[in-house]
Amino acid sequence: MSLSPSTASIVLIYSAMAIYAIALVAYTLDLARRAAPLRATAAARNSPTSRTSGVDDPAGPSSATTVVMVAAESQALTVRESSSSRAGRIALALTVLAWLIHLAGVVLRGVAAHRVPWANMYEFSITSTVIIVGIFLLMQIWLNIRYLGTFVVGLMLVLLGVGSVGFYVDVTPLPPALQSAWLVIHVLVAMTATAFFALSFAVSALQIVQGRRVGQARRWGNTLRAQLTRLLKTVPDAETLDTMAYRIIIVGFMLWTFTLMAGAIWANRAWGRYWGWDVKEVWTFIIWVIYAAYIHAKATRGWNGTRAAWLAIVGFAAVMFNFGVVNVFFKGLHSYSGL
Amino acid sequence: MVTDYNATVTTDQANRQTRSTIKVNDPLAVGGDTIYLLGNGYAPQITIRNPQGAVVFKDTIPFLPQDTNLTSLGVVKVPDGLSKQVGMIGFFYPTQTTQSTGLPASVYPDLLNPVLSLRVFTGDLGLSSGVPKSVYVLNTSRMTPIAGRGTSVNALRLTPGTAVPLPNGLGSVELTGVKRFASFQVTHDPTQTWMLVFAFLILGGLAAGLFIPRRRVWVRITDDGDRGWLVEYAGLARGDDPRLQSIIAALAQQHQTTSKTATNREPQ
Repeated sequence: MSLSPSTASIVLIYSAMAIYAIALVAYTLDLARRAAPLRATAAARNSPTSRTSGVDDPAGPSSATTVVMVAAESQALTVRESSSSRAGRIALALTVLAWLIHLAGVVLRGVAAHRVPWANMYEFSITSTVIIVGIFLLMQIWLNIRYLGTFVVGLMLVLLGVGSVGFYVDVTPLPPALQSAWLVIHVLVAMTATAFFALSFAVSALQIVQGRRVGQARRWGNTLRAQLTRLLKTVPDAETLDTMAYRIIIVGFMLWTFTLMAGAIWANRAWGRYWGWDVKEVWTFIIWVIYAAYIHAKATRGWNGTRAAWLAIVGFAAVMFNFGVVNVFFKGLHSYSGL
Repeated sequence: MVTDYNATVTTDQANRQTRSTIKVNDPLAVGGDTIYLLGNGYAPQITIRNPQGAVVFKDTIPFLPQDTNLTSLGVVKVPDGLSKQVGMIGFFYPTQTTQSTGLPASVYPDLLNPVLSLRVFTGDLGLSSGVPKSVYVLNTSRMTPIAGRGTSVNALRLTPGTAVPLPNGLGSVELTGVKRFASFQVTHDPTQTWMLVFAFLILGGLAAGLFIPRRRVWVRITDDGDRGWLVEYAGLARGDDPRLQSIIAALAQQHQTTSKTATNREPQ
């Protein structure tokens, strides 16, 4: 049986989605295990301790006793959780497998089209989701953020599902406006920025739940409250998540700024002006402003924590609106959905 | 599916003629200016004759493209030469087919089956009011439709080289040919280099602002009597800075190593 690259790509994407779905179940089981009362999750809680370095040498006249005082209390991004949940390990392994298949599907789409696989909404969907999961997996090397798996893989499955079912188009040649090297740079950076924003969305959402766990859980039943509290105790506290979301967003923001600039340069080359108040241009700018507001809020006293997290969520909602609604329903120069 | 639009042009600079092409994403630089291809479309050539067969109107009229298959919308105004002022509005389809809804549409931007469909109005074109009017807009408020929607007569359907009679014996319309038009923009922008320089500076400044952590460090040395000197370190970061602790510790470690080396050398 011989498959054309474009058909093989579809088969691979759908296979990847199936494996992601199983991984999602495993991530959920992992979370359920964290909420379970038995086999307590008390293992390996490496809370950061104030480190005091220095050697006490009272004999020598010039011996120095070193005291380190740190004014701004910093918290390491290590995770206080039982690191060895079997469901969690299976979930991660399945995610890696699904990601490789997903990546192969994306590459084959590019092979079928003889160009980069991100020239319409379907291709944008499959490629940006592969970047989201890629960055998620990459971050696992330094941080154990497996607890985000349910959210990240779930969100990614929704995007990939909508992209594959709702936005699918056959391979077509590039329209004249897209025939430029800037397609590679501008869109690739935009997708990477989107991936960082998606991850920060997951972290910020968890941060809000974490920050409100006491207040909200009170309204629910006792058992549920206990389960939720146990579950949330296995993930970092709101402050650590806040820091993590901030770091992810500043990377995304840099990339988004570059996207905006590269887009303007490309627009000048293609249409003879940097900025033309096209719908997509305006929305890209709105997103930039929202995330700039987030970064500003973080630097302003009193806007840390939950309020900043809501801004991050609004930012990602705008990203989704820009992609899902502006491209399809608004008439503009960036209408490349091919639908 | 169209993959490209090329404008083949000849430029004349200091009596040297050069042939080159301009397309979207590939503007032409001429003598410090840049020429962009912004759009293109069709301009049907229309000839109108009076009932006696004398030519009263002959013009090439740009029709504005409405979609990617270049279905184009345009207006023909004939103020003189016929017994009444005539205005026509209609679509030009480069490759016309009939959709399942019964409406015509263009399915390809090249001239494979060109058809011009015109609704005809008579009455006052409103050209004598002294106010400038757009050549792409037909104000029909003081005109009566005589062919097309709102009348019992079908809209005129013209193919190249055929003459079609106007209703009420007004005369005839002929589509004599179809020409292409392209719109260009000539830009002179001496700020481009500076724009790029400042764009990079902004990006660099942003990166520096976001990724370089701002820290303040204090070192206090007090005489601790018999026990020697007490060296205390303190650090303050702007915002969250998880590496502050280890950085201060490293600094302290470094001082300790150097002070020990210094102590060892002291007796000599």
